[in-house]
Amino acid sequence: MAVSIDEARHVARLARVDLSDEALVKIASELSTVLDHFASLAGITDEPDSLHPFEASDPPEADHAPALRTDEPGETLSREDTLAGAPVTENGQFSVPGFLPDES
Amino acid sequence: MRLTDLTFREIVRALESRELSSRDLVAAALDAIRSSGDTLNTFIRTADPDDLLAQAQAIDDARARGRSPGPLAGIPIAIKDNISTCRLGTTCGSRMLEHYQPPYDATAVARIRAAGGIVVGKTNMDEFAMGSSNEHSAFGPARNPWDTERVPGGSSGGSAAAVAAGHAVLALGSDTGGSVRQPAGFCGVVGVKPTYGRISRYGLVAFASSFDQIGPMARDVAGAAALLDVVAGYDTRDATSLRETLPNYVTAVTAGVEGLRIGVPHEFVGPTVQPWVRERVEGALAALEAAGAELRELSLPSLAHGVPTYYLIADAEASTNLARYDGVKYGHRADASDLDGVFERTRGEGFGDEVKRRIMLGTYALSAGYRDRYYASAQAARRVITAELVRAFDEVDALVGPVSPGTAFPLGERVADPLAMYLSDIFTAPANLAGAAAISVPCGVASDGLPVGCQVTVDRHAEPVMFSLAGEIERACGGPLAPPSGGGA
Repeated sequence: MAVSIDEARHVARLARVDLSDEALVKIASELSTVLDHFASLAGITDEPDSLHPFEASDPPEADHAPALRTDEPGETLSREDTLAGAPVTENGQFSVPGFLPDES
Repeated sequence: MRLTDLTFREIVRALESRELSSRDLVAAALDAIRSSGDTLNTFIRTADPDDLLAQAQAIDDARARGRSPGPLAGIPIAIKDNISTCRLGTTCGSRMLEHYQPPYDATAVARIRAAGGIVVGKTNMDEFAMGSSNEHSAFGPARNPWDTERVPGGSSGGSAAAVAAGHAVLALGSDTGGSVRQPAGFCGVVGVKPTYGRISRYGLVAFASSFDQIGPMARDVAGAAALLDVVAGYDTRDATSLRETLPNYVTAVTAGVEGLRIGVPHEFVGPTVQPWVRERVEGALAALEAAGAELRELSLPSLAHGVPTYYLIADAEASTNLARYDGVKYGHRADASDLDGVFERTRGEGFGDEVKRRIMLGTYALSAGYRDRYYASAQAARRVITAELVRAFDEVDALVGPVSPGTAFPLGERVADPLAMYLSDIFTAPANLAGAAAISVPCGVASDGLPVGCQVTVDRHAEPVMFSLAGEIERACGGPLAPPSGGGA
């Protein structure tokens, strides 16, 4: 099996997803099946003139450039609109449980 | 009156000559939603009917005063529920965003409204657009108007079913690996995945940003072209949006196919394709040849890598894009005393199984020790596939084949087998990998009684050729399809 249950637990931790032990067993097996199939990619060789493995496949072209607009102040969401969907707010800000040592 | 009785051109002509009122058109959509909306589960949320009728009346009044209220004026349009609509809930088919109300319209939606289009509601979809059957919606699956025991396809299954059943004249979907084209094929409607960058992604909730494109859906090719005419074009709010002068896509639909070179890849007609699908697609190819196009057989061997390449990169991108659902800024939040607990439990409770699987796969493919083997290999494969397609487009103007290996499959058949579901995308993912444009156009009803979608894939920027070919296929195959009993279920 490509993915062990311990590896699945580690990946769930990296992804910040709470999964039960039962769910970890199932997902490790499903990921293993999928990744076994995807192992066919291992043999693929890149184009000889490629530059960098993480370069976007879509080359820059005249119609993309300049990618960034001029940095000018514009209309943005109001604080009220920005906070409207937040589950918990406090004093006009997003609120989370304390995470610094002197706060907890 | 049923919306499925008229073509898009007939609707526009009747509205302009005032033989048909927008109020009647919207009322017909609302009637159809009342009659089969619950069975087909096309919408997650519809707008207030009185408000829709009032919008339609305002358009009718403007026309009566001799004004021309916009190219989509008075036409009911459905929007996939991952495209932001101001103050109209946008759930992405997820419990995570069940109560989320965007504070702004996506650019594509703003352009539809500016053109007079009437947004009737938000359509059902696989959660965060991850799925090929609509069965991964947190709000229950949408169903296929041709056979309610079958899936409408996904992830834009609600939009495809809504158009097929006359719940709307036009719809927007989104296509990351085939999510507009495959449901269009399964429901017998037209679906477009434009060139990457053609339609602004501002307000489209991100899944895999290097693939995601909004796409128009309609019962006929002219309708899809008219919607693309309105929503396409540069937007300062999307750094990947293309700056170029746009041709008129509606005009291209009737431009003819004389002299166009059609590539028919061996890989698109292999043994995995159901014989009744192959038969219909071969009929479409023969019709193109009869209309003056030239058919050329060719081979694209790297397409065999399309599905793994697509899923590894898309899920890697999804694993970072979906990090934003942390219970802080919007959406669901779980109770926990510490911050990591809030993150982990919020995501454990808010996401469905398929989204968790994708996030896990993407995180794994990016993690230390596996990144080169999976993510980097997939990036290399993406360049190989793209180069192969670019070379093919030196030789031919378009590639034509089936959208999917089979017609709509029964509900429940693949939901427990993620790999089988992923393999449904074998013919559609390559266009997303290469940023190319592609369309799904109905090419008839197969011997199993279900519609077959024919896919025309063209090079980046070549949408006019794509529309000309699709227009010819539609004409040759008997025009727009309607499900038995008008999709009334």
